[in-house]
Amino acid sequence: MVITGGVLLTPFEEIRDPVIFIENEKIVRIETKAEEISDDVVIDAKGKYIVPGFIDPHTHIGVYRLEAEPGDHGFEMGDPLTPHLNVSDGLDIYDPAFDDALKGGVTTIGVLPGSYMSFGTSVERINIIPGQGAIYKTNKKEIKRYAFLKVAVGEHPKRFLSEQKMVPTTRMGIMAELRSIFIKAKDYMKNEKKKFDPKLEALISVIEKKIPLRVHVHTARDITTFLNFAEEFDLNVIFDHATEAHLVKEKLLNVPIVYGPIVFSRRGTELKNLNSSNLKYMKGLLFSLTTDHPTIPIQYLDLLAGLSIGEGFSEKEALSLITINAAKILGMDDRIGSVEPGKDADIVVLSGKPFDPETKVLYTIVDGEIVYKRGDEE
Amino acid sequence: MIVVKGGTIWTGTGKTIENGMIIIESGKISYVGPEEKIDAKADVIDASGKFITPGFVDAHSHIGLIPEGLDWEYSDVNDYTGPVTPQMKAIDALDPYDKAFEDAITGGVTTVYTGPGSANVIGGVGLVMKTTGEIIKKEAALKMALGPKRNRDRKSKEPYPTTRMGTVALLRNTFLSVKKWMKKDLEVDKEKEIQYEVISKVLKGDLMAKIHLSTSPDEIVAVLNLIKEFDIRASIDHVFGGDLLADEIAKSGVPVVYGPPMISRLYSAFRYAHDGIPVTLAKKGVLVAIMTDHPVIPQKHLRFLASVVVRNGLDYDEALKMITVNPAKILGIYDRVGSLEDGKDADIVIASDHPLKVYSKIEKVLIGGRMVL
Repeated sequence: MVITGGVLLTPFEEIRDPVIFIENEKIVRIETKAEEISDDVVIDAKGKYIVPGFIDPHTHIGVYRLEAEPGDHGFEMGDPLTPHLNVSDGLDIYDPAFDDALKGGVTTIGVLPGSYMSFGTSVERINIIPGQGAIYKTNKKEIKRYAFLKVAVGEHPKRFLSEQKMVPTTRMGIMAELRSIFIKAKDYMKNEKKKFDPKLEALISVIEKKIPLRVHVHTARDITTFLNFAEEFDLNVIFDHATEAHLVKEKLLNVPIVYGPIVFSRRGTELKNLNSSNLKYMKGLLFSLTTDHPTIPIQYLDLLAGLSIGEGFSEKEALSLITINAAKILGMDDRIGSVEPGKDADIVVLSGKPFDPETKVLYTIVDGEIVYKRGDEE
Repeated sequence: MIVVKGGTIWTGTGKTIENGMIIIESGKISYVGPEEKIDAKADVIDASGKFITPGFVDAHSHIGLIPEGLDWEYSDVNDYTGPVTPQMKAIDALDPYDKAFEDAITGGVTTVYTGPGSANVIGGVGLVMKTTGEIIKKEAALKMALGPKRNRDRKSKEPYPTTRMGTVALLRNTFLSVKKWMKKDLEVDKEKEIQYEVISKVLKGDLMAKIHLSTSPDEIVAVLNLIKEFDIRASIDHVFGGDLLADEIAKSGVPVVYGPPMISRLYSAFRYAHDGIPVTLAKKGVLVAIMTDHPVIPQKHLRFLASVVVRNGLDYDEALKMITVNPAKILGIYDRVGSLEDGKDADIVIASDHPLKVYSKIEKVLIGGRMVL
């Protein structure tokens, strides 16, 4: 396949009239002056924009049953610590959100076990370790089954546990539980006559730093607490939501953040400092943006990124927030996140400038295959 | 006297003026048109290169009734006293110190309707206010809500209906009873009298009804019939599935406050929701506004929702009307806000670019001629 013409935003640079050669699911080379092009599939992108497929590292696509009831959830209710559960085992690949993602140019997603679905005024609830998250392409191919382990701290697990009349119900109690299970896992790793324990087994790759923790966290105090915990056990962490990250910016220079969803109201006291305008304080940190689908429908990821431009980011930086930054956070920037030779051919052709509301996705290409083509519906 | 000069003025009346000028006197607009000689004593706001629009209006919000960043004891939007509570008034619960008001101004939102939620079939009276705190209408609309499942488990003074037919029957029979009471054909106790007093305003046409419809298209049919039967002024709000009945809604002349856009089809109640609906309705000639339903979507992001409507196929002009002209008309305050015209309140938004371009920045906001951002 060949894509020719238009403006390519890699996103590192802008290339006018590129010719992008795709073979065996990969981008093989990019030229600017094309010789005679002969290929089975040629996409003429003259007057269009070409960008890398968008990436959302934090979604719940396929996790929640469509047409559920408020309060349905994506975590086990009976146990505060379930590191042995994997989201792929409960993922509905027939969720129409996969199609919405393709229509919105999103090609790779992180899928995490969830919290209570919250709507309107309701505050989220979640247990302490909901389970393992996975990485999928939106062509429904599983890229990595056990990609991260999700942990939640602060008000949301407190609220869940106290409502369920479970323990612990304080921040110190939650951290003590976490510390205890990690100490047990370390002993378990050393024990030569161990009895199989699926929960501790799941923590081994986290302790070996092969798998990062994805920490559901909002406040500066909880971010600080968890940084201490990560240091104590020498773990890789990624902070998710991170509403007050801007207040402890200096501590987060080496910690990836999946920020948002930025269009969200301040539900409960924990979110009291949420404001999409805080984006302007996030410059200099490695972060990506998230829809937290279904909180914001997945197809609007690019519009969320567009808001960053109003807060002082350049167009390139805004595009990076939903492409290369997200790829780095997922540990997949060798494969995805930019349009460069050697990378997966995950490419989106746009009708106009990225971030313009009237711009439409014309083609979404995943692994070198056209998986969405805009029809004549309008 | 304040003069806003330069820039592109989108008036909302079909005119867009390049290098225009707005003159503001005593909080009101006294001139909108091409640039003219400026009074030497005027305070001049240079808006050259900027995009100027009327302040944004949200016709359906709960701002100030569920103050942000606080817990449930501060939430005063739904009182489950019973299925019929027209005696409740938003003005009694309004928290003007809700952080969301400050935010709203940064998003260019200058006027909002805020009122009771959808817990009850007849929920109470909402109000219209400026985001600076000035109340425009203490009694702007009586909220009513359909939907099959209302608070079955609550211990209330009267039972809640549990079916759609039960809900519609309750509305109809209440209206019929109030009509009889108005003609002195029916005697009721004092408590009911207080309620009937409010409902009678709707039946006399003095107060509009704001009817929450979110579950299914059959409710839309039922409510359009009720509106016609009792000849009341009403808007229908949320209206998921409205595209399936676009012709009927257009024919009825009943305006729609759609949304909020950008919610997922998560719950059974939202299975007919999709962001193409306001586009279809507008193209059929329905008067459509869009809502944030704050705090469902934060108040300040009203314009972001209009951008979402553009993404779904509507042109910028029509989408911008959905957060200016149209909600002002629906709320019956178009004589004061919603467009930039002589005699109207000087509620003005100055943005770095067209405000529905998500990357534009709201730079200045005036409400009643006062610079609030």
